[in-house]
Amino acid sequence: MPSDVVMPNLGFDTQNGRLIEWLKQPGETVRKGEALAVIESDKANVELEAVAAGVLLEHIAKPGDEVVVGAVLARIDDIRDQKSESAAKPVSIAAPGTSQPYQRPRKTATASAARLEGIMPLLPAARQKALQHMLAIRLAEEKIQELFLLNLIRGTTHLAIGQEACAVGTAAALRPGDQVTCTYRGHHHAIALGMSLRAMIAEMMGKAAGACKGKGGSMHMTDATIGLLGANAIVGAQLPIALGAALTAQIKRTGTVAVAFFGEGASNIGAFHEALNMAAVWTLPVLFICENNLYGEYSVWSKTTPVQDIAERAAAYAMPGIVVDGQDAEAVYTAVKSAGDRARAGEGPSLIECKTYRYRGHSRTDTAPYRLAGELDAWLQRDPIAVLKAKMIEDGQLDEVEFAEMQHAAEVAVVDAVEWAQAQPYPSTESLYEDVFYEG
Amino acid sequence: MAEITYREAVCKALADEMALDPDVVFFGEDVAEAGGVFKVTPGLYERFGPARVRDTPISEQAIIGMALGTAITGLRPVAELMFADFVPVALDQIANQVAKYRYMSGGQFIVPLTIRAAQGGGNGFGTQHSQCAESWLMSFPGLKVVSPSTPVDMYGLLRGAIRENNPVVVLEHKGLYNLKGDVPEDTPAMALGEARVVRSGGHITVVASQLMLHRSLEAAALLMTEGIECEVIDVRSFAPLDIRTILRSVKKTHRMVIVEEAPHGAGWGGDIASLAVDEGLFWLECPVRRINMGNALIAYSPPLEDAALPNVERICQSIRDVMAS
Repeated sequence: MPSDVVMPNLGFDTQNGRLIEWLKQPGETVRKGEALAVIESDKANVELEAVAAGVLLEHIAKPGDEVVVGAVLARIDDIRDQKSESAAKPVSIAAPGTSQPYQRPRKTATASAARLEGIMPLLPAARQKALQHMLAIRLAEEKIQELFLLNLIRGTTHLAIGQEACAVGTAAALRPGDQVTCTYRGHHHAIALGMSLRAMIAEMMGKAAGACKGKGGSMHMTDATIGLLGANAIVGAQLPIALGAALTAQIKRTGTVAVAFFGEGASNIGAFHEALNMAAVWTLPVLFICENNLYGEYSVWSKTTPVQDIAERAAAYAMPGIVVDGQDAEAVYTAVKSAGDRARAGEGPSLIECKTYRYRGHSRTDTAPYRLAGELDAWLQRDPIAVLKAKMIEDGQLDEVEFAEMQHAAEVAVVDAVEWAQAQPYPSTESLYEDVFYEG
Repeated sequence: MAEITYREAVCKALADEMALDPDVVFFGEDVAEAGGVFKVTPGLYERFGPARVRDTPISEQAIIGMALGTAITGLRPVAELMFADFVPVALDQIANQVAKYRYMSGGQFIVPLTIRAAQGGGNGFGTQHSQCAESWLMSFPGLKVVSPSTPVDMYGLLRGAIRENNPVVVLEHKGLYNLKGDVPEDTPAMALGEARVVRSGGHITVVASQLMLHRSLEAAALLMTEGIECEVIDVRSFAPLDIRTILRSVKKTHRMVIVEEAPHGAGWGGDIASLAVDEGLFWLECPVRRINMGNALIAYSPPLEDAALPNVERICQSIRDVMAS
């Protein structure tokens, strides 16, 4: 069945744009996610992506046309129905290379922070779960992208494709009762902690059955029942909040830890420094986990940050700082487990820097033109799913058939969540005034 | 009857709630071992110990963010901002986090958090240590704001704020710390959200708070000798605003002045005036008059600071003008 390619909502107040040029012509085969056209909006020029793999049937809009959100711009003959594409390989994964993640040279030379030495493997069941969660994250994020292109998700989304290991490695090291705050790029944390995909997708669609009753959306994913105290849309604000969860743990002697995820960009905001300082002064059981994906919005971090590693900043607050390979879930697990044991023993906070990479742009309107040539390809060589998969195959814990089954199960779960969420009603407008205050 | 100061009422409310509820914790800059820069909280550290009464670094964002984190995980924190002028330093946490946390999670949390801050001018603290914060804080649905004017209200409203399962900012006026008043031993925690008629009168309604309330009461006593009977109302709760009590008075007096210790722009007096016009226009015999700082900033020099803040004479003259109109 042919698929319509519609003008996506580009966020902000943009209701229309101008078609600049077609990058693909009728008759050409396109891959899902491949750029079809360039559209000018009031914020930036963006690429229109193929919502499905197949053959481009026809252009409906012409270069120069003003196009409104929701308008059909082209049609693709969807070869997904012919079982030739997505069912067979919905996730494209390169074999893990041995090269180190690509790094831009630094302008300033500083002492680098400690590197993780020795990786503690996860138990087979935990590996299985970590791989399942990474597949769920990858497929959910790709589906979220698609839903955005279809205008079923509005506003903005920030995808964590490429950063899956940071979330699942951390989750593997946490215990029931531990609490987490994270950032607006936080879908992977939510899934890794075990959030219901249905409640999550429904929340992004603004439905009453969403995790936050449709009041939060993509950037405020919260599920107190799994310890996810909230994703935050203000850079760095979640660090002091995690501090509070850690203070409660310390005063009530719960033996739990708090985790604050943040990006390398947040290490330049005041709240980061206030939080690390106070955590150290009070020896709080809190883990500061930086996902350094190299870009703060559109700026490469070397332009905004003078240190070699974010983990160096731990030294200023007299806490351990360590750099780990953020593409290896077990490296992340090892570091978080060790820091967690330390925190639970009353020895205070740690800073862990996961070197990672986001495969997509900052948000939906960003096509990431600022990347260096070859950078993305270099990181794809160290895809976090492929890294764990290879270890499991080598250890005889997984074969290709089982992996394909896991992929298929993850895809079924994502499709189920989307269908379920789509069938849910929107909240009643009366609920606008509910939960402003606790009444009672 | 026990006569204590407004300052002592703060400490007594904190101590009584901490004694009743082990989940109440208290922290801020210099509040523990030093007992507060205004000597408001002496003895709490010694009585309740270093786990529950803590000195923080000078980190207002972290103080408020941490308080929020404790509130959503089972404690009942009281966080002090030394001066209300530091509210803007922590405004992200107050406005974007504390006020919205319950709402944007779809009601997953209660936020039993009290923020205390000392505010107000008249003491030569200069531009950045003398402001009142009510008007800044009224723009954030989800946040309650109270400003007690007497020792008994300070005691009752602070206890009420601590017991509240929503975030409350309690603003304490520095110029009132030495004010004495009766706080009976059995004074209960007070419900938030109620204004109070402090002085009854039939000619004009005077709405004020804290230092301006006391100046308005002085003005009312002077005007009584001229035959003008003022009904003076203490706002007490700015969010939610108890407009009913104010409208009841306007219905009786048909005239209103509002005395604010704040600049005119987007001040709380404008909210009260607009609500009075919306809901009580036909009771009013003349325009509502706002007495405030206009566009003045608080300066350090005594005559300049005195000129910025409404004083008894200015309040009297404005009331006479309104009565003559």
